[in-house]
Amino acid sequence: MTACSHAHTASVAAPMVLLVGHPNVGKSVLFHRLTGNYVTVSNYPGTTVDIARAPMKQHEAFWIMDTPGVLALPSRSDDEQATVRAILHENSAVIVQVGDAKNLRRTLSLTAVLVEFGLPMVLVLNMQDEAEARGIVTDVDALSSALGIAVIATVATDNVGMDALVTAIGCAAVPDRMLHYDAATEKKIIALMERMAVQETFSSPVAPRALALLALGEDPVILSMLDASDRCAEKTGGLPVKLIRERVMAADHWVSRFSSRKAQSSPQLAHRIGQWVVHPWYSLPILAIILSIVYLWVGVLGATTLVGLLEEDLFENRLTPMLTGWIEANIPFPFIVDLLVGPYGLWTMGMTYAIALILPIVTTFFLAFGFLEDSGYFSRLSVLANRVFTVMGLNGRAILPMILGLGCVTMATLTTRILHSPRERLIATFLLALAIPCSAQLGVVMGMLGKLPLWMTLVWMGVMLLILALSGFLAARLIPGKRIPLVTELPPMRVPMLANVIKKTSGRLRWYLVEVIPLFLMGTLLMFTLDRTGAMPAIIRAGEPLVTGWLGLPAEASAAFIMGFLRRDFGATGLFVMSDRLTPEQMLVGMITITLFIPCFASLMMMIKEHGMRVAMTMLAFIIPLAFLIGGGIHHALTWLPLLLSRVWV
Amino acid sequence: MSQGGKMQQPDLPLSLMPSGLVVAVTSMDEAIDDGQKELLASYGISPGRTIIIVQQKPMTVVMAEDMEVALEITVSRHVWVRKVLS
Repeated sequence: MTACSHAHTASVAAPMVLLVGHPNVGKSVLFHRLTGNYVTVSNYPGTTVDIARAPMKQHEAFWIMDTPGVLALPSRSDDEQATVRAILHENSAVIVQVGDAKNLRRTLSLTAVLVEFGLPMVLVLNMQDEAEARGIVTDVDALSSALGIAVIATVATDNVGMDALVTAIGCAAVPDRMLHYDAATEKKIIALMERMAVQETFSSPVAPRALALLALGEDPVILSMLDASDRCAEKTGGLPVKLIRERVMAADHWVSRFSSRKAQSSPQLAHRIGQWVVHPWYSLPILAIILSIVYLWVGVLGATTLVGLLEEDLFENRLTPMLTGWIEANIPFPFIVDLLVGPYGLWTMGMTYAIALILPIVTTFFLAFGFLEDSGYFSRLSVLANRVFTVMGLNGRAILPMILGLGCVTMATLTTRILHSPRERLIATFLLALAIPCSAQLGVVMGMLGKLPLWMTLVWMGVMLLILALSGFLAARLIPGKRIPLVTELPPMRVPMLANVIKKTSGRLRWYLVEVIPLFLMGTLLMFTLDRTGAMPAIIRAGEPLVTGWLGLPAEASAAFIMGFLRRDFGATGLFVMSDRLTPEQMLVGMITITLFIPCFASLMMMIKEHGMRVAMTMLAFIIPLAFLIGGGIHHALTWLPLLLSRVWV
Repeated sequence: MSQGGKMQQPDLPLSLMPSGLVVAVTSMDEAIDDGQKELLASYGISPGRTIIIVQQKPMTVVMAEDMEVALEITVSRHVWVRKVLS
């Protein structure tokens, strides 16, 4: 179809093109196609919690903005409010609504709101291939004529329809209105528009009618712009639901006009798999199989085989002796030699930890993680996890930040924004900081657990889950507020795209190398300084009652905990390299303590950013003593329980 | 009650209906607040709409148009539905 064939084509005066749409419809993939910039793309709702923007590669005058998904407008959650603010306050030239081609009714019910903004618009019906596979046919030309804007069918992942979209953006038109509300509502809209016209706070470029509609729908962004008296007046019980219903009915009418469905064959395999993974009987065995495969991939291949190849064969036997020889021969200052290749040397400790020990572990972890998130499995876990999270005052939706936390706790703390209330976000952040190990730390822990008997691995997992459940249970009772029941969409299961998984993994590895190596080097420098100034032995002595007396670990383990203050995985690696000198019981106690220990510096900063200094410090004041309390408790249980049992047995 | 020779189906909570059934949503209790009603409506679950029940455990999962939606039992027991006669 010709994208620029509409009579009332608007001249584009402003440079921002906003990608707006429901969650999980492919906005971030389109953003990548239009800008060349990559933002994390995943097969679950809520991937985009922040707004990304970049120049459009095909039209340099335009910028593209990727907004968080909206379930419906008026906005209710933080990410929906971010999208409304973007439409109101950015220099919006064009709204590109990205919709799911196989769910036209839902797409058009959002279109019914977006057309009210009076901005040039393009409607993208993405995932056209999935719609076709289900026998859904939409007459895009007729729909385009009826709306007065370009409607483009795309498969963004395969780059289908992108040329037409680029053309359409360049000559986007202002759409026609899709529906008239009932007479009483229309009267309210006009009355509110008149009142808003005299208020100075409304200086948005969008149509006043859209603002009035959102205000009647009790959109918090718009209500905050209203005068106090109007704000109370517009809190009209039941009207927001009625407005949504009217839009859905209008969308129904449009769907019956422009879309049809061929007789459907038997359900697709992906659809069946999607149902099996949440099936009451099959779901848990499937989960167990997936966890076992991840363990073999990360814990055995990554943490044992690849670490062995890199650390022993490459670093210990080749690179380090070669470098040490060269440095000792060429640098006449023992202090510098020690700083570079001594026991706390920048190479022997900092680089070896970062490259030889952790890099293979995080690489295998990120690959497994990317594969699972692309498949859509994580979203379905929310159904399985709902009951568990109910105990913690949350709902199954909280599984997403928890799983993301296994990748990076810092990013996961940001992702708690997908949860619907501040209370839920607070509880989830606390649990992330306490009991969710990040990928690097988890990999190191898996590597150590691989050396222990199976029952100890089960004890470690059991303790983590118990602490998670108990802390969540207590937090849910201490933090005031109501739990929100889970109602969520389940995106279809898809075959992961290898290119997407590799792209995501390389992006994450780049982030890892940029963030971790400087921190590891700084940490090593700190350890070197403490060692050289004689502070290290003093700290080890001071920590002895706690580390040796209470936790039952060798005194040198204090150094690992100091390292853990900088990054948890740095501390875990400190214990990992000591593992030959530790008994299995000591390794277990060390792993439990370091896993529960304080979050890394970056995630602490994120906690402060999201919840403020007071809340972050309160969490730390709880987490640090708890980590040592639990670690010591396990040590004493392991020491005394066998003795007690043997006496009872005798 | 008879209607055109067919028995009128009774309204029942969604959570009590068996999997595989096609049902029409008839009403929602006051226990579901306006925010949840908005959310359900945005997923295509509101009075007058037809949905397919996919499963009931561990959560109610329905197919609303071509989207699977999971609802906690605490919500689905307050959504009243009626079996659609084929």
